[in-house]
Amino acid sequence: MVRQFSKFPKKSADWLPPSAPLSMRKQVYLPDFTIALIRTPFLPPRYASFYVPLNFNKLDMRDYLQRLYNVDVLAVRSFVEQQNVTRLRPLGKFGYGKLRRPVSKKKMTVEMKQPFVWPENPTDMAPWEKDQFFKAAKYQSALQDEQRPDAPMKANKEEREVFDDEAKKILDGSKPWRPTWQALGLSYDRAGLSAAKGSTSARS
Amino acid sequence: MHRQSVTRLARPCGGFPLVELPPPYLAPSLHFSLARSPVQSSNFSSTAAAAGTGRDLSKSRGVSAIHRTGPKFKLGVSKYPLPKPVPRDAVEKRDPNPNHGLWGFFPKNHQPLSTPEYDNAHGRSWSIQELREKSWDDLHALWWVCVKERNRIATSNLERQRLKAGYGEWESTERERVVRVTQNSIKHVLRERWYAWEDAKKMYEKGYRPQDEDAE
Repeated sequence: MVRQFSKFPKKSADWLPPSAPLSMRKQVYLPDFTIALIRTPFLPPRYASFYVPLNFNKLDMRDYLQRLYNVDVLAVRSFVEQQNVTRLRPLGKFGYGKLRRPVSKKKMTVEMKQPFVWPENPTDMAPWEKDQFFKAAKYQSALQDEQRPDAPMKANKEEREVFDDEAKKILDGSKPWRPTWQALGLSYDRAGLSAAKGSTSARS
Repeated sequence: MHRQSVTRLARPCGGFPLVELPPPYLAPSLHFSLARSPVQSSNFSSTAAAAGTGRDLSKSRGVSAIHRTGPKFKLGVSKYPLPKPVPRDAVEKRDPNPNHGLWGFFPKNHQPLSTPEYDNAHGRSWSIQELREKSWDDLHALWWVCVKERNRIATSNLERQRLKAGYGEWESTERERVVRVTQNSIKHVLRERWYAWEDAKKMYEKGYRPQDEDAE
């Protein structure tokens, strides 16, 4: 009896060589993933980089670009980018919370037959309202900070600065010091008040 | 060598026995000039002539990396003008190929990212009723249109985050949601067809023949 050992498992019954016709192979008809082109100004124009799903391989990439975008691919390089360990911030505070590592990302750089140059960055950001966007974000975060439980412990920065400026002006002499009631324009020259003053002075 | 041997042959006879040699028009190489130097011209060594000059033939003799002697001869680089480095901004742009396939990852106006206005200018998704009337080829083509659009949106999202462009996230999310609803509808319709085919197969196995019903 001859026993046959093999380091490698036998091919399954439905195994097909890669040279088999397309109709016999397992095809993907309705793929449900997205790939995204990455801006890579440091690469030569015949190279393009993509974020692809983690289960994507180089052959998939070549076939996908060839069939869907009609881009001739000469070579594919593939990387898996491990993400940094970060912390959940359940209360929006640093220092505690669960440590976890976000899911890795796969990047593929393809070499194409035809060079492709990325379009220029837009100079005018008006369609995206960039200024208004960041102003609103700042306002939102300030508003949220006011609602936090430790908000009363924080100093009012704006008030502080105003006080500081006023004090400096008085020290310079550019603004004379006046009591508050004068500064506010309050008038205490009333008959009853003066009479009371006179009586007190007479008494003393 | 030949010349020396002939001289050696001729020497014991004394003088130059021109008479015994063939005439010069027959063998000019055997006739020597009369003004011969009296110095002995043969050397005892039989090795190559260059070996006797005191140096060997190694070109890297005396060249040392430790002592930093440098090469003995001029290197060829100085013959050619060295290229001058150009800053990245000064490098002239390559002309973009308007027919390249990768433009499919960008909006129609070939901008690097879509504006919120562009993203917002879309209609509704395909309804299931509309898709039921379509053939498999139509549905398949529509699916791939959806895939391309989602790739486009993903690229724009990356670019918007990179540039910190501002608004547009909500618009692109809405657009993608519409596309995904279409994709789900396509799957729904295909699922319906699959169940219908399964039911028909079961009925056929039970013996149901539609042509019999028509005949009745």
